[in-house]
Amino acid sequence: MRAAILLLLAACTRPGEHRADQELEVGRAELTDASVVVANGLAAVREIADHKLTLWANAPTLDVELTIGTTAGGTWTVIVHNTLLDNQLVADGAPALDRMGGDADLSTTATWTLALAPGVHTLRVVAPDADTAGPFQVAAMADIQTAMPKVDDVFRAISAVPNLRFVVAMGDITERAQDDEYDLFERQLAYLRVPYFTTLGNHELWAPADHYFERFGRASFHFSFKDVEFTFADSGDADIDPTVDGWIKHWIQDARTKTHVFLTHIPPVDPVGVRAGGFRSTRDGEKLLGQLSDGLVDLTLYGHIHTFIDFENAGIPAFVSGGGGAAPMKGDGIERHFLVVSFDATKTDASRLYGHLGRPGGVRAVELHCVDDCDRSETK
Amino acid sequence: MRFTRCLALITAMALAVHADAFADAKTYDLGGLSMRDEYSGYTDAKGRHCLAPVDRDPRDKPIECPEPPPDERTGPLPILASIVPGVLVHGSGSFVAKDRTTAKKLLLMEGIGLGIAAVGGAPIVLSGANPWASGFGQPFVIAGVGMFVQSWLADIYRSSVHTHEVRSIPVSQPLEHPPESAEAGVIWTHDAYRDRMLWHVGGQAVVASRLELVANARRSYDAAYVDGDLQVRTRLISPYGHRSPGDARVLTDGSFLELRSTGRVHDDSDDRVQVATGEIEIAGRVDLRRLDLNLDGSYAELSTGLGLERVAYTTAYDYSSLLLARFAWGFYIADQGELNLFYDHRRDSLAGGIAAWRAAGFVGSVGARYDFVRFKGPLTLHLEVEYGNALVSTIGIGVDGGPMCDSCRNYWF
Repeated sequence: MRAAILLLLAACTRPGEHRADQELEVGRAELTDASVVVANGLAAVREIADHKLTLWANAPTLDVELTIGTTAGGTWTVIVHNTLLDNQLVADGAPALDRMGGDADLSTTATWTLALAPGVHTLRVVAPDADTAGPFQVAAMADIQTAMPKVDDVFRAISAVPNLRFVVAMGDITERAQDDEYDLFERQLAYLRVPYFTTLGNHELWAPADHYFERFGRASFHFSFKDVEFTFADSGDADIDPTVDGWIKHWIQDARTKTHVFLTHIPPVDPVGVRAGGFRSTRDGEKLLGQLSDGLVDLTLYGHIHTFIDFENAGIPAFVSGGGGAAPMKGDGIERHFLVVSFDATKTDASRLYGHLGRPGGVRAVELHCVDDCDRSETK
Repeated sequence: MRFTRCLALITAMALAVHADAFADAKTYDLGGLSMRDEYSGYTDAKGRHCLAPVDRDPRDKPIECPEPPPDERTGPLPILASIVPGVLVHGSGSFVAKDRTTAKKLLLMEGIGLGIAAVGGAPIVLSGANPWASGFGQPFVIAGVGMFVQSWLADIYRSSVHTHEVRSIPVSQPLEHPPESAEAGVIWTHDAYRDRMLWHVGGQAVVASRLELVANARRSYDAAYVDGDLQVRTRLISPYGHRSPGDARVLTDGSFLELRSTGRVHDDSDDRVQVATGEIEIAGRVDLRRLDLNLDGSYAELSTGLGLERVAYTTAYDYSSLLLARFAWGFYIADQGELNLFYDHRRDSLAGGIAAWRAAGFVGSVGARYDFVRFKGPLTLHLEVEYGNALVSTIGIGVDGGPMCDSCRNYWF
């Protein structure tokens, strides 16, 4: 009896274990005569139906394996939501296909039609410059929650920044993870002219996490764009599950010589410890930071705390940007805001962020943009 | 649901541990029959009769014998009432037991607790968790929640353990702090990343009437983890008594207020982190008989403080602050020891914080601690289970009073 109780208690110490297992099912679906697998779960399969595949991308580049049975060959329509404006479709190594509608269609939803015979096909959704190192910019934000009805202000402000490629987000899209909130979020994304790649926050766990996974894909994932590595991790329970930690170790190891950004919702250690806005186990938070530091991660981005904080953790430049509009912190001189992060992986000199450590890096600048009036202006 | 299930399991675990402890320790029972030789009839200043320890120190305050209501109701009904609706309306159990005075006091304590929590919580909520407001408000929130929980548990205690028959015998009194003691034990921790067995040694010594030193060290069996702490406790209220080593004198009041200054270090080579912490904390205990004689034998504790942490990684280090806050409710068991249930707000401990669903990251750990001071001769037994991010179980055997004390000599030779 005692042993049974102990075993059950042990299960209580890993609330994210089941969620991590669920993530492995993201990006897979099948019909009687067709199946699809998105490499590394980087897109949610919204629909696979008669000659039609609809995906919600959570990364700039997608590698898709589409298996078509004997009765399913013919002309297929592939729709990818939340994708880069200049993404093309490369099918089985053939010349790239531009999206339907051409340059006139500058939305984050791309549609392609192509003839596919029965068999296994590899589809790659990719921007022409995705694999070439060079300068680019992304926006970073988090914590929309109750401000969802007016988040279009933030999305418009982001869209007004020239040359942004995509948004990276650190979770807490919704307040209660309800379907109507997710529906509204997708409608509000119409005001954003670039895709929005995000992990989940603790507020996405107010409902079963599969609601999130089915819509937006994995919460812990990794992608590379223009030789800069992005790692997103699910910290919705104020910790990282060991399964996810194993993935992170692998991603860190692979990206050790590259510019690497780590994003998660809850800061491992709150920069103001008495506030208790970090991991539920400080030891686990410090353990993670040690791994990131040893793995030469160049930048960490967090949400959860509804303000802007520029600090350093374990020697890594860090920013909390919880300015999506949710119950803003008072007395900090800032309300809704987002960050613009500039990268250039071709630079091997000491970056401005790492200047004091003499450490080379492709993170060139982090710039604070206020949506509402604010008395803070920061460029690092 | 998962959190609720976990709490239920924790409770079951705690009950199992303590059921075993009670079964093993035949020398005490709540009826106090085994202690009769040490008690004699006593009449207090108001002419009420009860039993009192025969070797009472004349320096102690006179004992006040409790006076139960003549028509007090006992049995399961007050106990059930103390749980439902007692969880919301504290004092319900006492009320059903026809002890309306205690019921009113516990209800008032609940109200004050909620009020204090609201005073602390309002600035946190209204400021969007501004760090200054959080630093100010959190100790009040935890103290308020502590009073809420303590008044509820006290009502359950009043309605169950402390029925009239038991209460008329003052068997549940605190034991005086030993002048010196040492303990060795084993700690087992299980969390998502670590399954460790730690060896633990510790000791304390009262070096002056108001000054005590406490030290602890722990080491995992594979030496991947070591830690140590040294604490100086200064009694602000209720100085330590002067007694012969090994002579665990029964007190009539275990209340105290003390200042604790602590230095801690830990080195975790698996995590590649070394942490040094300096802390200052004010901690107090009040015996609840001061609130109501019918709560005799139970006590409430609160503490709060601040810490500063230096965390060293392989190539860098960080500084961080730390809020310390803790509350506990417990009771003395038949002059043999004490059992308490506690909440600890710190998340840098072995236990860390509970994955409390929406509040994960903010909430600390809960636990139960049992100190069996008169375990066997000069030997003491310490059992503890704590649940947060990790499940931490402790068993320790100690020696109270030092190896050359009289009772030790009698025991060993």
